[in-house]
Amino acid sequence: MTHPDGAYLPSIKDRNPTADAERLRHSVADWSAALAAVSDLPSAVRQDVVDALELAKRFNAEVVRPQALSLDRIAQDDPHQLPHELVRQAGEWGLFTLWLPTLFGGKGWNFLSLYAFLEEVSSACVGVANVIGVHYMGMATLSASWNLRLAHEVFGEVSAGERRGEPCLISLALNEPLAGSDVTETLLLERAQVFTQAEVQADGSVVLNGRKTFISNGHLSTWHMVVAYEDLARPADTMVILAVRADTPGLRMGRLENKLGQTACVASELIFEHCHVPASHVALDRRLTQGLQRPHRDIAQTLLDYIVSCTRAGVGAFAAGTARGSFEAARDYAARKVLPSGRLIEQQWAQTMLADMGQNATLARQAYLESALANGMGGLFRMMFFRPLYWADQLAPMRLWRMAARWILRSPDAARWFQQRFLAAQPREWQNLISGLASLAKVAGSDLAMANAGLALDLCGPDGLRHELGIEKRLRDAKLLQIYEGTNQINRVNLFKCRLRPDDTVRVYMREEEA
Amino acid sequence: MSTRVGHVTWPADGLDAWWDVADHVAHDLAKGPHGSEPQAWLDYMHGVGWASLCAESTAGGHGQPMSVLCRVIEALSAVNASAAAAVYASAAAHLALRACALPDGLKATLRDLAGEWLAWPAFHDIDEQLWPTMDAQGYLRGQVDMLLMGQHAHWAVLPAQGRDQGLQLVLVDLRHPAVIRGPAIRTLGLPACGLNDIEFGGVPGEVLTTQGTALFRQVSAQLAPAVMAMQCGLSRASLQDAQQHAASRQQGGGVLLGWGEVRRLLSLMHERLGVMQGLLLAALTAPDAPGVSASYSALHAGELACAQTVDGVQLLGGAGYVRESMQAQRLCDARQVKGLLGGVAWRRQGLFKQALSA
Repeated sequence: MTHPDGAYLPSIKDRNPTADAERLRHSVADWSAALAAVSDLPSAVRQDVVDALELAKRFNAEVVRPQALSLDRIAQDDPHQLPHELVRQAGEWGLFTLWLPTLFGGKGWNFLSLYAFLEEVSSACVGVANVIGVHYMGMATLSASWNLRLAHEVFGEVSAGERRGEPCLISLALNEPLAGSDVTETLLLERAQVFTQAEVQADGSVVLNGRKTFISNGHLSTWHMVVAYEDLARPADTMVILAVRADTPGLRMGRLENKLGQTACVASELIFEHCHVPASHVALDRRLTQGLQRPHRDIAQTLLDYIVSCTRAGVGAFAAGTARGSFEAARDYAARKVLPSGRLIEQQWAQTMLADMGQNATLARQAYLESALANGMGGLFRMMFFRPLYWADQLAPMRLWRMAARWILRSPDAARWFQQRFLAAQPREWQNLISGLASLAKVAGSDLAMANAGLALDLCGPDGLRHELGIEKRLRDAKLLQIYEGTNQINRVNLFKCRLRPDDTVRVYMREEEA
Repeated sequence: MSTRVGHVTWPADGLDAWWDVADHVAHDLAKGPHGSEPQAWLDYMHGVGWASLCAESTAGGHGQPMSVLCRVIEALSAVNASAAAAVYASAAAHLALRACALPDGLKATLRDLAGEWLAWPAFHDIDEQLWPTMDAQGYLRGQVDMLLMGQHAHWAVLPAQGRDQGLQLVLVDLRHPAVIRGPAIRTLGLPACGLNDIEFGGVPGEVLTTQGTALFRQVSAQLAPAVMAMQCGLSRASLQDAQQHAASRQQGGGVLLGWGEVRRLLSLMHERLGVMQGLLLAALTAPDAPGVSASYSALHAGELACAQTVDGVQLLGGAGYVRESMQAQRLCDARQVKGLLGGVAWRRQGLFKQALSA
């Protein structure tokens, strides 16, 4: 091969095959997580994805589609109704333990297939997908703390609940009345108006006071992963994560938000009044991060990045499903509708609109897949895609596995090892990669979902405005995707911060008076 | 009276006075003793004379020009777009009645109708749906979809398929026993403008004109500024609420207004509103009767209003997404006005056809 200036470019044979594997892995993922995943993921992951898609299609046909519109209608007429029956049905299908590692009594499907599942269910009703996705958001929060003993207790109850036919859900309580988008970023958190205080007692237990708002599945969950702060003046330095059981004295449910869309998934207010949480239910605090060789604030940011990188990729999957659902509904309508000039679906302008919608749905999927794959290689799911562990979880005899698990889960040394490896030693470049890609997936997906909802309404005309067609619902549903898990504005800044700024000297989150 | 964020003084005598009155009434409707029941605020607006704002003055109506209708609708939309849609529907039907050369026998009926709320189809173009047919005996059979004020009005003006295959405009008494009024349709927005489907099982109808297609299109074009006014009202209120929220809501160590991105969005909202108000003024002050260009302007105003109300919700965050929030309702209303009255994809094709033949 000859370069224009006459020099020879190295051939494939001349390249150095002993380049640093981890650096190579990162640089490929930096260019395309999907490409890096080709050789990085266990091959059986693909089978899980195919199985999850098939399961989701059956779940949609038998459970979601028959009741999506009626659930929405009921919620519009009486916002105080709780979808207990839907949760029971999802539990019957095993959906609250399917992606729980077998170590904790779950079925151990890999998380990549969860995203595929959520996209598919979102194509029928994103509110229902949210009920399931939010449960795994709570699970991800506890997993990210690497408090294995507590995980064993909480996940064990999730698993037992499903066996009894009484689904045990986990929520994530992060948002506060005066602090929404700024609680996921320590740079903003230090200036945020947060009021949920955790007073750590001498015995390590915590007394919790404050309130959390817009907590998805709040009224339906048995466990709440609560993010609170020891010192409200220094929240980033004193962040505490607690697992609070719903029946803990001092915790009560407040109002249910009367949301415009995604009504199948309730949003609750949680009120803590001298709520006493035992030391064993503290997932992470300053005491537990002592000796991890990084300041608590950095650990807190790493943990928040782990969590929101999973959840924002999840919102991307919701968005891709919503975008596809709008496209499919519009296409089906266009096939039925006859205009004076002929069938709507045979009008060239309608075909190009549908092509735009199909394109948007595909782009939204590519965006969240990049983020999910990056999470698998350098984020929270890295451990689960570690081949020996993956195959042990899949293939080891259950008795043997449980014996090993008993030792691992109860050993403080094991928890310490995981915390050191995944919280303290997380490389900055991977943290920026997963966080930036998650923001990209969330922003791009939600904007494309809104675009498709608008295009579907434009294409379907006045008929699309009727509730019974389910097209207008998708616009209401899609709008929330741009708001939760950090507004799209905050996520754009995070994308710039993590992936696009030339170097760290370029400051972000500057207010007008500081610029 | 509300702070006048984005308010424009119109270049015509007296119109601002109309806006003041409309703004007062609108806010009175929102907080007053009239409750949330549509019939209560319809009665209140009827008392103010807005059911017959555009009805023939010689027959007892107010005979107000389009600019006054727009001022009233703009102010109302900011607070209650359903109420604005009711005024729009009645004005549309009255304008159609005024445009018809009515026989003497019908002029007495016209006087009876001058003070009435009237129903009118919620469509911009007559080709958008099939209409009921008028049989040989002059009885109306079939169904009409999405009639604005169909739940509340006693009379409706609507297209009907005539015996000679042409479309007519007919006047129908909706209290006739052979009229089956469907329940209010659950739609995206405008929840209280009495939108429903109506079935006619042999109802006598008075033919107003046999040139139904031309007259319907004429009224639709004439009303394009009113549609823009509705979108302007929704957009102005969105901007006002977003700006007030941004000035008071704390986030990340200060008020939202201190963030550059929030300022960028608010500036964009001002820009959109300015464009919409410009389009509205241009349509109202055009020397000729509104034509295709006004319809195109309404279509564009619809796009802008949808973007504006979406940004309004975004700036309010979760607070703007709950049903109690007026902004959540505005998002739905703007989209519904666009879908019903302003413009959708196939309407673009229709407008272009008209533009080519003009």
